[in-house]
Amino acid sequence: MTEELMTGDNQYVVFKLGREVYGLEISTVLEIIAMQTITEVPGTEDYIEGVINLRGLVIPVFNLHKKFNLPGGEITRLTRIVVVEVEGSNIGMLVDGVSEVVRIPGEVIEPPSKIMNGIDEEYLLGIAKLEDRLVILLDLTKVLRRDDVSMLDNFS
Amino acid sequence: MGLNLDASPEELKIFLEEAEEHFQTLEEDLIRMEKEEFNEDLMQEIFRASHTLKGSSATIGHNRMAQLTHAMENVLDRLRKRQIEVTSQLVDVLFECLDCLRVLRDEIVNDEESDLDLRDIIAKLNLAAETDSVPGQKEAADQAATSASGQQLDDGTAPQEGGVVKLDMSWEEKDAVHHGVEEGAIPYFVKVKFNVEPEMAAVRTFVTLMAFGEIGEVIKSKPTTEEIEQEKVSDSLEMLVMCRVDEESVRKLVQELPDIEKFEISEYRTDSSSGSHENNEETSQAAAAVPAEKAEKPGKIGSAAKKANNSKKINRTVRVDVELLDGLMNLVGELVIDRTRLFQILSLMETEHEMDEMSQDLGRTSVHIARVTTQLQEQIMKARMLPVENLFNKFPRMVRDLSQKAGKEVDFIMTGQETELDRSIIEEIGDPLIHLLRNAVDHGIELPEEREACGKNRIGQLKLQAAHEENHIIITIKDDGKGIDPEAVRQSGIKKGLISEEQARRLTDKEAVNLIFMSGLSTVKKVTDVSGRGVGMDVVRNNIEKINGAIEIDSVVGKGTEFKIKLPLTLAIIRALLVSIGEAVYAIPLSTVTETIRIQKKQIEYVNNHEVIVVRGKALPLIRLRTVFGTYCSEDDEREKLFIVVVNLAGQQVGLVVDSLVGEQEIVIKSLGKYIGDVQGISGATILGDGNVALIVDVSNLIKKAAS
Repeated sequence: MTEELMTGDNQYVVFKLGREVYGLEISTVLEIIAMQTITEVPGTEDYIEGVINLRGLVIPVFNLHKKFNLPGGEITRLTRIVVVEVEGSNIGMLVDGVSEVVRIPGEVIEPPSKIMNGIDEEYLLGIAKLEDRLVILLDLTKVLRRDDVSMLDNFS
Repeated sequence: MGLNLDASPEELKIFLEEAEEHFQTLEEDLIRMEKEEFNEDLMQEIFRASHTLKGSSATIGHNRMAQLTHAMENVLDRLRKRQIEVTSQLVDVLFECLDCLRVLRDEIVNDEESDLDLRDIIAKLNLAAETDSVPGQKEAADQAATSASGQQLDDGTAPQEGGVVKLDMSWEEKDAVHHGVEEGAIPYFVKVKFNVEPEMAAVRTFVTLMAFGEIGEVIKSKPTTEEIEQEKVSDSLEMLVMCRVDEESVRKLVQELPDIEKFEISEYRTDSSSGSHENNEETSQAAAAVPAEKAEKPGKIGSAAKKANNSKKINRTVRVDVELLDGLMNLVGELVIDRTRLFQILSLMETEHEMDEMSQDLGRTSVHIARVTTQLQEQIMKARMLPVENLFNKFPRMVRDLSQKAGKEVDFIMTGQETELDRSIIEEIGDPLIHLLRNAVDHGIELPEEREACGKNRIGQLKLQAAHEENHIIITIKDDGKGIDPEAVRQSGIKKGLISEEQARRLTDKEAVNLIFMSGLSTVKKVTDVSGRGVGMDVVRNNIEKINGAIEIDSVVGKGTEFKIKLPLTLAIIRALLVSIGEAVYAIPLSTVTETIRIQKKQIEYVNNHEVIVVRGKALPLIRLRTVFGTYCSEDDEREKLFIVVVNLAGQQVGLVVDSLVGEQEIVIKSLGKYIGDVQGISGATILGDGNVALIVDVSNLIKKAAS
């Protein structure tokens, strides 16, 4: 995966979480929707904000602030839900505003380093150095992986 | 290693379908044969099924199957002539043979020869066929033989009278024709001339016979199936077929068959239906005679055609992929949600705006859409329904084998097989039913000697019944065995540490019997001290509750036990009571709700530090949903009036404390998906009329938690 990234150009959906800028490969993003009523599901991990109705489908919504232990995360006028498809399931992620779609050439992407504040290195694909800013590229399958062991412990 | 069969894939497909049908017939009929008095028709049916299997397996070149069916046929032939007697050993051998046949059938499916050795079973069959008849039976057999030959003599002239000249009909075949006519089928005489190479003639003849077998019943053919399998064929085929379709359809069928040079079709007269036998020559001569005949008797043909049309309607079916049906059901679910939403908008309009013409129009349209949606929902639900027969079919054999193994005599009675259930529910309910039936035979019904000692009939009764009741299907399993002793269950519960002696004493007998559903009680392999039941009963209950069903038990010591399973008609859409807890709306399946009550806070009492209220003299434990779902806040305590939703599952009742009641609604069950997984107290989600998601309360989970 990483190798592939290094060579070709890819398009990324770029969004903000707090002060940082993140990118998701465009093929994984299904749509970006406005904030809507989220139904809380009791007894779930705190980064699971709840579930929403996406045209008749009930899908979970993740709060990335909580997942990455980032400060902030209040819901504002700019808050959006990015709907992605991971391993056949649709999942929503709360983000602080979506800015644009950019084309990032493979050669500007560097492997993740440990200096990132707060976010576990394992969630990252790499960091793209653009002219004016840094875009952190997320590895969705790892971010959204169900932490089976801890979840099961919670429920038993 | 491949089988090297002498048939095309299409022919094999036909063969496999037919074989399954015959297996099913054999299985059902063999059980009837064992249970009932000697029944000529039944014996003929069994014989015919086996005979057809023999013929068709030989034709496709499955020699081992032909060999086995041949041995089977010998036994059945002697049975139908009453030369040997029906014994349970004999039925065992026949069942074993049937199992072998299924293995052989699977060889075709897998295109691989199995390592099944036929010598043993064939030897058993031969032995069975050679057993001499019992003296008492002999007389009857002789009598049957003479009466049969007498009939034969009577009918000696019949072929000339009937329409078919070249087909000599035996009395049983005539009987089959009479019988068919009574049921609305029309007998046709069909003559086909093939245009094929001699080496293909047998296959063609066979395929043609098969094709007619699909639209009706071939009573007699020339050449017969045996002759076909021995390749004693010419370039023509004559047969008498009982069909439920009109002549035109038969004609069409023949036209679609390959390699047919010419054909003739005419209606065959039975002796009783035609006073005039004038046209016996015509029918065999030319098809040209048919239109003339039609003109001659318009009334009769007309009514026959009408009849055929009716029956045609019944048979007009299309195979549909289950996935497609699931998809349709989902779409209807969406519509159901939108229907609710439409009415909400409408009532908003009514309250906030004057009702002008346009909104009245909208109102009318909404009502119409609602009606159409309801109908659509019903029809699609119907399309997903299957009669429980498909499931029940395998039970008689199972019960028979089980009771034989346990040395018990059981009269197994099934009713309501035609009751229809959603196919996904049928899939889920099979295992629990097997379990309950097995328990009833193993532990419920006593040994014949024991029964006689208690003054009961030595044959135990086991009833399996399906019935429609309001919006539910009720399946009952009832035996007249020894019942469940509540005292024994209490003791076992104490011994296993599930309940204290104190608790055990306070349980009513009914509650005690319900303990068998607890998981601890069931881990023991042989709980004969608890009147035997128990292994896996918790699994049975869980499976049933998983599909929103409920199971109740009613047992009287010495008299028997009855299990009553209540099932929803469908899995996807249920009626629910909507309640609010804080800001959130939750849905409680209405099937679990017995009543809702409004109480004063001061009515709450405490038992062992648990909140209870007294309803009609009984203590009802309370569960505050706010606490369960972690939205508890102190102001909750301030409330003076509380709403209680009383829910009941398997005899256990609890009261759920909620903030307020929102209403009753049809909801579509959706899963929370794998990322959220299982959540305590929540069984799924649904979408409300306003587009928001509501969670569905898992009542059985809450009750279990309250109990522990």
